[in-house]
Amino acid sequence: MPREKIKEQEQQSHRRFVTLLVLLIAGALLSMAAAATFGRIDVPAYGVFKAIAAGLGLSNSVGQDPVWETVVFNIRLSRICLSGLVGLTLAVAGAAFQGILRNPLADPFTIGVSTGAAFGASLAIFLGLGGHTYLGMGFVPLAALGGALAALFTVIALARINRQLRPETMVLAGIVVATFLAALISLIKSLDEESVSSIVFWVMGSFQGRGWNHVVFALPYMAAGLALVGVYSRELDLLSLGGMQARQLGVDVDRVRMRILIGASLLTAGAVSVSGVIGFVGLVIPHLVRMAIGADHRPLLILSGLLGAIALIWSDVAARVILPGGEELPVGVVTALLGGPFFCLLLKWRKERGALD
Amino acid sequence: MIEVQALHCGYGSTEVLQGVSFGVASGEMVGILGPNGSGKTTLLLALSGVLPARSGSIRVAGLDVNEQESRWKARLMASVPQRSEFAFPFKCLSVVLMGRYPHLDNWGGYSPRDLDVAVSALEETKIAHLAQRYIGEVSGGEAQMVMVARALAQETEILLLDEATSNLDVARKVQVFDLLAEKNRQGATLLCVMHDLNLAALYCMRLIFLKNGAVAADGRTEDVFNDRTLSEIYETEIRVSAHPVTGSPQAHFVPNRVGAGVKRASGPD
Repeated sequence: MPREKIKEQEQQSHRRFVTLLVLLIAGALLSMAAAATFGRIDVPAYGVFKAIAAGLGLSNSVGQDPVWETVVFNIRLSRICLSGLVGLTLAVAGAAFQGILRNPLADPFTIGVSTGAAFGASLAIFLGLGGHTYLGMGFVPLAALGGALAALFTVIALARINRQLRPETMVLAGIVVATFLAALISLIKSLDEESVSSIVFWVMGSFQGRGWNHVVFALPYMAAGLALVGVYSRELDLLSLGGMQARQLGVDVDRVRMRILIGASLLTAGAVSVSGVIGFVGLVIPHLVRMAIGADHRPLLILSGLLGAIALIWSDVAARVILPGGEELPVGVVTALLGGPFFCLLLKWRKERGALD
Repeated sequence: MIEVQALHCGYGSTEVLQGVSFGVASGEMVGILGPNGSGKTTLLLALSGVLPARSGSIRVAGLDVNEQESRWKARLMASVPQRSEFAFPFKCLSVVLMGRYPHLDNWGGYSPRDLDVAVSALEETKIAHLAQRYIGEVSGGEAQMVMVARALAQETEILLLDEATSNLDVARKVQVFDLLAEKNRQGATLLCVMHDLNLAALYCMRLIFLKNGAVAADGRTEDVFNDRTLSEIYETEIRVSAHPVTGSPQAHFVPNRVGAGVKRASGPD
């Protein structure tokens, strides 16, 4: 095959990436606006756009219902931003964990970070700290973040042998830590019947009652995590071939692996601390993107993030409006109900394309 | 170019290499041979800096490899592994481009030159038509050619091959070694761990035999590739005769039990 043809094909796949990028960015922005029209109070579409413009200081709200602005900007839009951010971080963290663990079935929760967060939150609820406030919101997110980071460092301490982190040992240590903490959560639940429902609701993942202060709380961890994972995106390509080849190709494996692990865990911890445990986004979205554009981590991380944001924004809309009578579902239930069957479909497509395993 | 001194190396409680010493000059093409478990792969892992030396030293270009950054090593030495498993669908061209990693700047972006070098490597290994195919969807032999191309794209002075052609058909074996010999003529230093004695004798000017973690024989091919040395090292009867075209020594295995092999009417008795 002539050299020109290969270069042309490379340019083609680059154009394909840019097209997808533009489409997904537009899709994410449109989803944010469209999702703001759903809710218990009926706000017409033009009212939503006016309220968003007013909230951003682009226009004054003279002549429109001030209730609309409060509902759309303070309640709905903050929640939409938060669900979008959580979707983005979970999808990016999923892709990063899959890369360093060399396992397409890993997700942000494989190494026990989420169970740590759930334990921290449960403990806070059990101790009655839910009423205390920090940054204008409950103490629970802070406890969840602490739990997530404590679980992460326990896993690292357990999995470190001769200053080397091995993927297999990491997964095993993660399972041990997660199982132990899950037992402790069950213990807390049986000790305190009253807190069971709020623990369960938290563990299933929900954006109910979340606002701008939650966005502000989680944003620094998410930003730091995205920066770390983004900086080492090229190294992720090489690490996904295994530590030995990565080393022979010039990667400082131990250091880079640790930094990506911390970055992906910060993403997960930030997301879990404000939303609880939301499954399947981190597993299904990177899978889907890989099927479309291949495994190169730079395009994979970017497109997975955007698609994850869109997916979780709409999952949360479904969680808000699907039950008649204004009751809400935990969004984790929606993602599991949609993600499970969808993942089966993905596997079936793969089989039909002839992949053996 | 490479100086190995009293090298001890191993995994956990097993010590695989027990005092290996040899030197390789720039521009040599050396075959590393020996029975299973003699430490050939371990030696290559130690040379490429993946496995730290327990004692002794490995100096490449005058510097101790255990004290150098992986990036420096990857600019000097490229390795072709025995086999690779790919958990994710990378395009073959992407895998070859990964060979450019030690030459990238901190942002890790591929320049037009990187793409040029990768495409040249694909052309040299005659797999340019696979550029856009996913590595999991090509044959095992083709995937191995991709690994050879990746090592060429690394543009290193030294090439380390760990049974790189074991899973290839005869035509591909010859194709790869013709290419390696050409690289050698252009100045590259090659260390090839091999199982195929005859292929080694055909292409390598010097052979190092390992046995039980130590050097059992080391010398010019025509000096060490003989009945006695081979039979002793492999503990089985081996006869050597000249290759009908090139005259290189070639090994023939003799069945242990009388009458176990097929007796040809035209064969000498």
